[in-house]
Amino acid sequence: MGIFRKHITQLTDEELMVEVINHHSSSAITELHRRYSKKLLGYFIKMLQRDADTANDFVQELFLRILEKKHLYDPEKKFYTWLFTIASNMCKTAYRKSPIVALSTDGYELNRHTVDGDDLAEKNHFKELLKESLEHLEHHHKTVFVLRYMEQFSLNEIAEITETSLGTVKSRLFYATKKMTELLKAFDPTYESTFFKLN
Amino acid sequence: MDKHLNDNEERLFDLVDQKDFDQLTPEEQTFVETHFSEAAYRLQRQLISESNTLYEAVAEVPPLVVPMANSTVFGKQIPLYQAFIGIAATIALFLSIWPDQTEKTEVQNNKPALSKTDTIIQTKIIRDTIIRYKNHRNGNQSAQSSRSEDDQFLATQMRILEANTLQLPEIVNDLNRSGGHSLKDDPASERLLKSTYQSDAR
Repeated sequence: MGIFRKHITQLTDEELMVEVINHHSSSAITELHRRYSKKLLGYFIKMLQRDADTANDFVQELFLRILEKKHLYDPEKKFYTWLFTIASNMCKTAYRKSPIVALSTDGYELNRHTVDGDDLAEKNHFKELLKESLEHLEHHHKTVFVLRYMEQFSLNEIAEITETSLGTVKSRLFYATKKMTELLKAFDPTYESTFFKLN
Repeated sequence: MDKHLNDNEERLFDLVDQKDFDQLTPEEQTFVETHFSEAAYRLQRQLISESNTLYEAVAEVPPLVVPMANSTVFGKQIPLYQAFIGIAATIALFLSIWPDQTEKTEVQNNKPALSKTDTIIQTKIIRDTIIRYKNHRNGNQSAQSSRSEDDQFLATQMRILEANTLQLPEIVNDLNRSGGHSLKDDPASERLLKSTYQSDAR
């Protein structure tokens, strides 16, 4: 039935993973690497605040782990979320080994001026502060924030990746956004003390 | 640990997560503004939308280095070359203890029977006359006792016959050796026949 066999690039992630499990197919794992390595590289850089070389090492290690732990993959589940579950656990382990040192809050003092949306410099400055505020989050808050608003996962997918409930994901996102907004309040001239009076 | 959100918080989260301030209905705007300002809501939305494009395209990813496949024996991984050695050893062992009998038999069957001598001298003399003695005892006697007497008698006769069997001369050995010519021209066999007939005549 070889003539009816799909080309490797036409196979779904899950079909490729079955090839890897059954035949240790190097072409299948290479294809999965081609599809996701760039996205994973970005994820590791965002999560670990490391340079591209270190993040590349993480990507390589992740795919080696897939080959080692291929028997743990459930073909009924989405490969994409399984991939990010491993990546998320790797980040958690790396964070425990050497926690990322949060930048000093003093850095936010100089930002007490208004934001002009049209001003490119201001916009870039806002982005820099956003990156810094991200680093001030606790690891589990940062994980859900990056997965939701940078990697565009659905809430249910994040619950699956982080192996938590949907309620926990929503709660973590709510408090992550709250903390970041507090750090960025200098950009809101009409910031009111009632901003988060709910709790 | 983060505490779970109450209904108001969860509703606020859903709105911030999905809609810009301008997309909110009047009722939703009123609900939001009871908790925080329009500017604060807009800041959260900006934070979310900017996060999407916070990191630009990253560097190229080097190609994946896939390690050589390993085989598994009893759940333990072994190198591929060891697996091949194991298979080869198993086949060699199987062949050594299981030789192919069928083919050998066929070769033997196809081999023509070659005789080394053209004449074989039989060392057993078969006499052409058998004397049988009938038991004429009374028929009323038991059949079992008469049969055992017959057997004894036949055994005696056989012993007599064996005693009369000639001890063949050593010349037989010479005769069994390949002469390369017919028996009728062989002087040794002629002497044997003569001695046999003479002993018979006695």
